[in-house]
Amino acid sequence: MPIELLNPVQEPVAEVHPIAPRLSTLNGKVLGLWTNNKLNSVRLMEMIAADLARDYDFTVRTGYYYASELMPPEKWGDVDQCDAVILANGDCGACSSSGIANAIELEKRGIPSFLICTPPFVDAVTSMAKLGGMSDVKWAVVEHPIGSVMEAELASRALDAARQFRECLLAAAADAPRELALAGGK
Amino acid sequence: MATAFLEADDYDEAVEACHRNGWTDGLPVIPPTRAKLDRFLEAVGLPGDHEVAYYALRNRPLTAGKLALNAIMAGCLPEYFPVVLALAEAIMDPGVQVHTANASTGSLSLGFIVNGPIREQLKMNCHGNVLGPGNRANSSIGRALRLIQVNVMGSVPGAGGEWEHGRDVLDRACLGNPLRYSSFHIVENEEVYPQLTPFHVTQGFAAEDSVATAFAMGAHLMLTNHFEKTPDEWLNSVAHYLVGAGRLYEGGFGILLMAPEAAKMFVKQGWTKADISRELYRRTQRTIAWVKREGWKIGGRFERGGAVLPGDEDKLVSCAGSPEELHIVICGGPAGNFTAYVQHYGANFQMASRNIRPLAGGVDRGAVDLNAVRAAIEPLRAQLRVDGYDIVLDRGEAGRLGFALSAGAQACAECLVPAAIMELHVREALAGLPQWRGAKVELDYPVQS
Repeated sequence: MPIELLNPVQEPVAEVHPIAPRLSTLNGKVLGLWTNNKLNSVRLMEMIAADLARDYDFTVRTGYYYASELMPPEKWGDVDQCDAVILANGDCGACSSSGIANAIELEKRGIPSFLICTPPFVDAVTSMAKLGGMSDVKWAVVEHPIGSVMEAELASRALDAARQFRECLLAAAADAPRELALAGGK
Repeated sequence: MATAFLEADDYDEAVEACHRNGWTDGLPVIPPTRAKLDRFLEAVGLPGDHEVAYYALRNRPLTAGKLALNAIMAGCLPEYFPVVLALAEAIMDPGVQVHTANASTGSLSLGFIVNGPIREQLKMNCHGNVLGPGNRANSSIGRALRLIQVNVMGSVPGAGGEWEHGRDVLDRACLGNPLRYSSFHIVENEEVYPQLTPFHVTQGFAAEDSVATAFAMGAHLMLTNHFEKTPDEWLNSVAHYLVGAGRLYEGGFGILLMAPEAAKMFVKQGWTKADISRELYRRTQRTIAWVKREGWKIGGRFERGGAVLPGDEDKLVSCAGSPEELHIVICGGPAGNFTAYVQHYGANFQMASRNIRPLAGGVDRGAVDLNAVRAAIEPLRAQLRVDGYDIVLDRGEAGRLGFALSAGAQACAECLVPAAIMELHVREALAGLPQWRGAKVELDYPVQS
């Protein structure tokens, strides 16, 4: 007699959301640099901001977000004052997956957001973007790792991240090809 | 109502189908069928679509039905399901940080403590090999948690990159963790030394409550304390182990699993759990200056060593955030002075406790009723007390009862009969309990104080 099996897997139930409008320039804008206290995250942000400052005249706000959980909406501080936000680091399992989920939360608030992650976690970030209902959200991929490298290696990652930020968040077209964002991925 | 997902020709094929779909932990599972699901849901009196919690990061509800299907696959009996349900509620407490256990490269395991009458009702093991394999309830409840992580919460494991079974690999564990097969399962022995307040009571629950407490952890330390003859020596030894582990913090919980042999030593001298926690906390305290000079680090805040800064000589760290967060849990076999220490994965990780709901629908599958044994030996206790002795039920499981004899200060040394005779007295006392006829009777004999 056949045995009927029930499915023990819970599929995700996310609604689909569009990404926030892209910016055409950083000039005159407020750039948010939100770190999760992972090693090197603050220094990485400083380097990214310094590189972007060569081309744009913008102001910076900084903040903190949870490294392994969704940030409660009321705990983002003055993130709504920002025109775009960069999130870092995303070079570990929990911080990459929760990082992109937090980026999606900011996108839903209308703020274009950009997680800095590393190649081992691109597939997890891709999955999380899909099950978060926002497959089009953008992220940067820089060489792994971020947290345990010296200043010079960190600087090269920052330059790479800043380049991808220009391409993905400042492109006039919101539909910048995904291949661009995954340049450093597998 | 859940609909059939697939059909298998026979039982073996059903088990193989579970493997093919990636539903297992690599070991065979019990096929999740509708008939079993109905019995599990009956045990808790909930519909299958009842949402126990919501895992927002991965947009997945934890429904009673999906939790039950995974408990079935893990090998649970229906009466275990209230414990699984309470643990599912507890791991979703934000303080536990279940997403780190689900996704981190750090390879965390979930752990849990069970307290209260449910332990006896489910024949859980709080005695020898409590942390290891061998007891169906301990093992399958822990395994259910793991399968829930995989199938309900989406933590499909992989070596980084494979997309197995068509499902995304979201568990990014670097090395993995053998504790994950059945979680780090702890069941407290509340009876062996009633003077030591059970863990759940220290957390504000009533003694008669059945409580499940969940936490996330990396690994535990196993300590040996066979050469320590006094509480002072024992505490000194454990403190050295814990400081030597190099993980001193300003916050967070610790769980010290104390074997009955050690507990006996403390009880004889009148120590309480709070006394032990307070003293161990004190003996593991070091200044941040000391930590730096010794080349240790505190969490992820410092490089190893580093310059001693103003204030570092005064600021203290310890094995836990406070004596109140350093929990003593009594468990393990009657012989062996071994100790296990479980520390938080980070100072901001917390434990979460939930009441285990009573079984709905009167499900009763021959659970062990030790209260009847306790009542039956009361006349024997009265006789023994006349000569300054006492006997208490120390442990009980199907086919086996253990009793501890103790001698008071006024005990008459010549009055105590040999163990073989005492066993006959115990069997006589149990004669009215047919379910214990033929049970093995063990006597811990006697303790002079």
